[in-house]
Amino acid sequence: MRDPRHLLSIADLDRAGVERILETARALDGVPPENRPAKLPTLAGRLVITLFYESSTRTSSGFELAARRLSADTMAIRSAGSSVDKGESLKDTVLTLAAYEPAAIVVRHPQVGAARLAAAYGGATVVNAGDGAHQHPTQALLDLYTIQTTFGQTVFGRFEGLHVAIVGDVLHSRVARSLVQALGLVGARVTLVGPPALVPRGLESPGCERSTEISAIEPADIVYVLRMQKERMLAGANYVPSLREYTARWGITPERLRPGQKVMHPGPINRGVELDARVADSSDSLVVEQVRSGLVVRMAVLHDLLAQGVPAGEIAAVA
Amino acid sequence: MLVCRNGYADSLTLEGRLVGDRCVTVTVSEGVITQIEPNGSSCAVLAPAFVDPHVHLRTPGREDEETIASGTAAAAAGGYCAILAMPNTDPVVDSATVLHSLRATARREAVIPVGFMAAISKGMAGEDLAELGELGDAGAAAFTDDGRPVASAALLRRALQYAEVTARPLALHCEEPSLSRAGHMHEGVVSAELGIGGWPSLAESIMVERDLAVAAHEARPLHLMHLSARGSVTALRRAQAAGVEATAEVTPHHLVLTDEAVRSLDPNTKMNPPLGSASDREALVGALRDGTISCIATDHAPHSREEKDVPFEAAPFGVTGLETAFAALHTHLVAPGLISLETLLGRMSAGPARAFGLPEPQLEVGVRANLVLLDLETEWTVTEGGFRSRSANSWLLGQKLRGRVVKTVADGRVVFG
Repeated sequence: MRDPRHLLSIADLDRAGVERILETARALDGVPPENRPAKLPTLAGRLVITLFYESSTRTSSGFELAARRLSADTMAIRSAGSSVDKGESLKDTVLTLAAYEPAAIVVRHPQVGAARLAAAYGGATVVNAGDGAHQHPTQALLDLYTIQTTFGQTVFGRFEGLHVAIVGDVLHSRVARSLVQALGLVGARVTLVGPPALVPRGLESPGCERSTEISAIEPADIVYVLRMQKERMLAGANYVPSLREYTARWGITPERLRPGQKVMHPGPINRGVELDARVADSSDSLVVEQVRSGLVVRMAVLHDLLAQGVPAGEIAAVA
Repeated sequence: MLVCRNGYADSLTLEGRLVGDRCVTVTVSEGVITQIEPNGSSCAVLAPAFVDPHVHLRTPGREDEETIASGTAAAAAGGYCAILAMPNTDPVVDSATVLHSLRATARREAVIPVGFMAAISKGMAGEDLAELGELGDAGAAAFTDDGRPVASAALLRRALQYAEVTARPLALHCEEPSLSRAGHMHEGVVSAELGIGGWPSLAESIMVERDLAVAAHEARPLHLMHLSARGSVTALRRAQAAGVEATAEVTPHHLVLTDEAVRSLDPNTKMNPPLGSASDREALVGALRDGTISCIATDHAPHSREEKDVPFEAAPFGVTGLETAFAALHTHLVAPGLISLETLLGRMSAGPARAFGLPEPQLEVGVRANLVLLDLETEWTVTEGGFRSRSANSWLLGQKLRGRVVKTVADGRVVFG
């Protein structure tokens, strides 16, 4: 199943692959801004297409900027305003874009399996930037990188012993699925916390527990807060009685956190719903660091998939 | 009830090994078996041909996906001598007019005898009964709203009561819509990991329990279609023991695959009901073995390439099965010793014929020849180009199977091989 040409799922990577990408990102990040050239020549003359069927700020801008920093040409296709509006299928859109011979197509789509379909027909390397509630692998990688940066290479550089509580709507979260897999690969411990119907059974493993009590976040080093995905809540589904009740029981407030507990969130945040504004703006919030990590990690992913011959050390040397 | 294109009857001799190892030469004269003689040695197996009680012929409405001609040719290639077609077409088979027209077409085109089921409710909307009496008079083989449950218990009760008038079986698709809503696959470990909307097996078993309770109350028979869950098997076994006249069918894909297959995100692993857990599969195989489930039905559901060439969650439910059913089950159930060849052949022939009151294919002197000759040794690979069906949405594409249909005789005619 694992196809090294694509990054469709964290399952496409082994532990060594995750560590390689994190090291590459570290090498790219290690150059002080004043010594940093505007661009690295790695992907000069190659085309990276971002194909987004869902709205996005962080992921689309992160990928485009990452590709440009590696000197790639970029082309951004959005479903709104493209032939998708005229009823063109994903397959035909991918075949059309494939005619430009892109090195990579970055795909986001509301349905599980979209990235796999693009990989089957595009001819290019496909990076899954989110398919339904399935996978969002670069988010998980940038989260690992953020954790590594925050806790330092020495203590949690290898992640063993680290405990992450993931709180909220796990059921509809591709971020949670990728992150649980990635944290499992590097040996961290996970506790999933949320309303019973939103924390599906079946994700538990020796390193991954499940709880419906918010107090289960107490021992965690990091509280990873998921967005309450209102647009995925079918009317009448009754996953929770109300958002108000969700916030009262599972919302992350300063009172529910231990001093020093770090808080992460993939964005966009519903302030006052899953995350109290005071927490979001506190010094324990890593949200901005996550976005910053997104750029170097996406550069590292593109480098890893498209230019793997060049070791990370040489990237820094070029810089 | 069954119709087929008019024509000749064949005369031929067939050599084969009966289940039980006796080798015979069967003489068919003008369509009728006239002699069965012992003979020295044959390697192919000769058996009564198969009956499929659950086929979507997509006609009228989606003739690009299947026609009566292509679907019955596919069935002939699969060893079938009779099939029943589902009424969820466009328009729905809920009036004698539509049914007459289908039967007229079948008299011109059908390669093997085909029966047409009619809808239980008008437009399969689940609100009001279709004119079941007139449909029965017009030759409806049975009644079903397949693809949809009869959500209203009251409507199901009225349909069961009225079956006393039509004397035709009622076949039910068991699904509680409030539980299956937004589901694209079985709810379990795999759906949790893949993030695909889950469909709990309870959605089927709770409806099976309800339908059996209504049937018990009315003391009327009923047939449960394409069972997929252990809970459904438990309920069926209990009802049968309590004297409810209930029969049931299971598909080759539910007998062979589990929801693990969905990890491929291949739209040809998406079906309704969805592929269950290993425990569900084990219960289905056990029920097939002990006869609780007496029918194998393909639920042959052709879909065009463009309908299935989409992300998993956007794909329609359904896979083809007529041309691969025997080989798939021989490879995956008989060869590993999960069921005997005799059981497989019985559940593909006598079981469905009895459940639907159709003539039972028999290997006896004096009856119309409905025979299939099977080569159990040959290995072959399922390919997109190898189908007589107009559609190729098979869950077996690219897979190697052991055993194949060599020749099919349906209603006294050689229709394949």
